[in-house]
Amino acid sequence: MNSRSANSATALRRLMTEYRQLTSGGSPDGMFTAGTHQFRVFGVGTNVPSSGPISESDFFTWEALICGPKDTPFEGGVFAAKLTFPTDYPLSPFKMKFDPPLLHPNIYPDGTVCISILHTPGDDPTMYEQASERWSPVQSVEKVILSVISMLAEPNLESPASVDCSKLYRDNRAEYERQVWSRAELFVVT
Amino acid sequence: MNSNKLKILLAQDITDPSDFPKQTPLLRQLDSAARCPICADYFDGPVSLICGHSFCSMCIRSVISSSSSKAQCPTCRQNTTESQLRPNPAIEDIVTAWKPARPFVLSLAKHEEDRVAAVSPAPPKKKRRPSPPSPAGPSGIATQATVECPVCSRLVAFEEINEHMDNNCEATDSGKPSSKSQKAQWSYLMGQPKSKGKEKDRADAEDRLPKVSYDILKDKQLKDKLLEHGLPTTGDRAMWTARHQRWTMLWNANLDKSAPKRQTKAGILKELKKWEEERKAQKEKPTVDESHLKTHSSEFRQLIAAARSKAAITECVDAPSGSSPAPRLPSEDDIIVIDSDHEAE
Repeated sequence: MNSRSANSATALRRLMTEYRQLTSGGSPDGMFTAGTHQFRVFGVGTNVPSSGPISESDFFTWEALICGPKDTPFEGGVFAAKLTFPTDYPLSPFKMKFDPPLLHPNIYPDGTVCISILHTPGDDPTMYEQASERWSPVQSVEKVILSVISMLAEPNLESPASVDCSKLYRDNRAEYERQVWSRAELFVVT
Repeated sequence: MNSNKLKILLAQDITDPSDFPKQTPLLRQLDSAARCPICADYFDGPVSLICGHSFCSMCIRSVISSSSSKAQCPTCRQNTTESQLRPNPAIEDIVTAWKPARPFVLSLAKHEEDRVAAVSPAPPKKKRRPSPPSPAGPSGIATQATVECPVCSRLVAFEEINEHMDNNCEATDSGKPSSKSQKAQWSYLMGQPKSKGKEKDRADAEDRLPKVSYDILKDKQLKDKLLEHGLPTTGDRAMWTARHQRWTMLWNANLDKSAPKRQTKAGILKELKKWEEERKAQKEKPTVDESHLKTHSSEFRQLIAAARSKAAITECVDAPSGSSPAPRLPSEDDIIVIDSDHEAE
């Protein structure tokens, strides 16, 4: 119907800028920096989440490493997520998928993150979200990751992506935390 | 596929506010204030919305035309329409001055950072000392003394001030990058077209194109609309609509730029062509990726087998009634096509 003015050159440029911003300065409060496998600027090991393209030939797929926020069952873990950017980015939001999947009320069992900031005002899978908290082209990878970090700490039970997990979280918090941990331990690597 | 383009981009220096040292937060702020929040590049034909937020003309037009629901300001989400866009020449002037001045200011800031680092913790240094409109040629040399012209209050190098005033405050001929555009702007203000041919081309380009409801147009009318602007009429109706839409967008965005920065019609046509080629290249990409087919190959095979057995049964049922046309046995290829169609949706 309406022609999305897909312009991958614009998307690429914007991604490069965002990547530069993430690598060179990080967020003002130092909450995370970025890097790629290619360039070896990873900040893992220390308590630093990072993000960047997986390979040099495809700038539209990034990997982000996110630290579990403090005082949550995710504390102490580093979780990998794949970010997939559309060719008309930033008109459309990117997709974020934890791999391996996390146990969390707002994360689908396959790992895809369900968060209002990654939904365009047009589509509303849960019919709950206000337009004010949706994706807009002025959002950025950095802002989304910060939102996801705060979502990890405070799940939004009103629009669960994983109903079972949401129920578990509400009714039996201790069991939820235990399961999060045992799952996370499964994926402890290098 | 993209790697070529990527290499070109990597070769280009992508600038970013964080180029400036941390000790000069105001310079960072200045640099990011000169950038469009959508494309993160310097404003290109900046326009303001009714809420006061500014974007590149092309950026905001793309957002407005692509949003499926009501168009909103990307920053504050106030409702907006394309007719509310107003060119913002003030920002354009700032960007025009800042872009060439930036490398020089950056080198000064870096220099200062090194100096401060060499000395012990020194008091915070002065920021923004060199004013942008004087991007002196060979950087590194300390700024020549500049004085404010008493007539036009522009900053002029001391040794050039007399010449400057003699020339009725026309920009001096020291080959400054900004002087050229300033001259052009003056001549624009005074109504003296600099180069007649181009100016004329721009003058009759003054009208913005209205929005078109493509759905109510007949094919012929739509074609006429394209021909009116000298656009090609190849492709199908969807292609025409997209082409005309893009053309309108490019055309109107071009008008949001100040006159000396505008492109000629040929330039816009070229841009449209580039866009079409890119669009075509994207469409030709396979919509189903190989890995997906591979990982689910067993399921696909099962589905094909199931469909085949079903087809066989219907054939048996249909066979006795000879009048009906023999049902086509779906070949493997057919089924895959159907599958991939589903993927595309």
